[in-house]
Amino acid sequence: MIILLCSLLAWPVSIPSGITDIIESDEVASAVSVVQAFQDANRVLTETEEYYLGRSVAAFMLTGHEADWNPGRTAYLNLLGTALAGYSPRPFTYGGYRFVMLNSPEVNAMACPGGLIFITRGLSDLAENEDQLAAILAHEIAHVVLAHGVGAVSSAKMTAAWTTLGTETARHLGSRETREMVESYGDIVSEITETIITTGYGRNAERSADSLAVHILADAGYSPMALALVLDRMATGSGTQGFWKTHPSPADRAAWIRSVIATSGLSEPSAADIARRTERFMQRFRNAESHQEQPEPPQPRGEPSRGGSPGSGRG
Amino acid sequence: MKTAVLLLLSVVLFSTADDIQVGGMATVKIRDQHLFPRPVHYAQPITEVAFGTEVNVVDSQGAWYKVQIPGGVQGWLHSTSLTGAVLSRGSAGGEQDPDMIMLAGRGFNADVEASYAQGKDLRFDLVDRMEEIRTSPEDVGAFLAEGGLIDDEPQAEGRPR
Repeated sequence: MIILLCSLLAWPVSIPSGITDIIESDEVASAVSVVQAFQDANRVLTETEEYYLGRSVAAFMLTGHEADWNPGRTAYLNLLGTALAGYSPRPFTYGGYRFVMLNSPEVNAMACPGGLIFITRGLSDLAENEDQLAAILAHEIAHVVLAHGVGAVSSAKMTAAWTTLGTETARHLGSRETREMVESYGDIVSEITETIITTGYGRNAERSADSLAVHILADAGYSPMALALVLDRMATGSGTQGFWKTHPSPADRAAWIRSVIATSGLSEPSAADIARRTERFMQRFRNAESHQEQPEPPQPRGEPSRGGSPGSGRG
Repeated sequence: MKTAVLLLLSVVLFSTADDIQVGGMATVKIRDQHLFPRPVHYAQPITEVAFGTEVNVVDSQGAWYKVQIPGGVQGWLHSTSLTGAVLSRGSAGGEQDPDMIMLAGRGFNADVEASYAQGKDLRFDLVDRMEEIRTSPEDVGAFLAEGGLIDDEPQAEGRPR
């Protein structure tokens, strides 16, 4: 199996000792399969193209939801997320990772291509400590690493984009090539947004993201079991929107995560270390309301299109 | 073992590694990238290197490359920050090499975004605000140390990835 994988992936480095068990474990094989699909589906999308697509998807998110710009909470969220991303296979993206909380009771989180990540207040309320908040962010970072957003775009739309990108020779706005490129761009943005908000990535992609997330958590020193614990809390609730519409059942995911942790032999941090981090989580995130709030500025042109579903506002 | 999994995925996912050679040249493909004194993401950077900077690759360790930037300063960059495409030297893949398209500023870019945004009431201003959030590597290091996730001692930090 190792030889097969190395041939498929043209692995340019020697195999570290102990990697046999890793490659043969189901969850990593699943992740590698997704990686290969990523390479096949996105071979012409560059770092900067993913960045611009992600910005446009994020613009939909920020048009339909009010963001929480509390400076203390935002700084804490970005320290935590950036620290975690550094332990992922993709620690840096063109525009960098950014994390913002949305003032919504809905239980959800959204990862835009390139690293712009949103978590709703409803989901963050389920986290009892820093390790559980880290688990939520690690799952979203995993979606960015595995390029699930651009990977969800249909092959027909990607082919149209490849054709345009492949023949593009000028940057003059108004040219036929540019018009076609803008159309392809809009189609792809719409499809990614639709996937994130409405349809979800699917069971296999979520499993891959969960598998990668627990490895990121463990490598950073956080509790890999924290992701299962958050999902346990989710499993006690119910709904038809947000998370419940786009993700497999939390109970199934929690069971999957526990099997990944067991087969990978991932260890837990000490209770003392978790408690130490919980203290700052309570001070700097959960109880950060006392900081001076910075409200969102009004929309610079026209009337704000707040209140509607971001997906319904696609142009 | 867990580090090996992530290293495997890093190499497989973003395999600029197979077209970046020690002794050769590479190009920075990340905006506002930091040059690190050690192969870790939370060390206080030596300096910043801009997108498109062409560097000499002098060494490698795991998924990190030691590079020399114009002016002679050396430091470490992660493989996901680099491409083997070098605009000043062309590419074996020609002009249609995706990374050559990127380095030339073509493909989906700011002009395409601006054209797409015309007539839509989308909050790109808030996306810009989101991108203004800055989190420095040294602050990340302090955050990790405060949380008991890394040792305070710099010589104990090095877990090359």
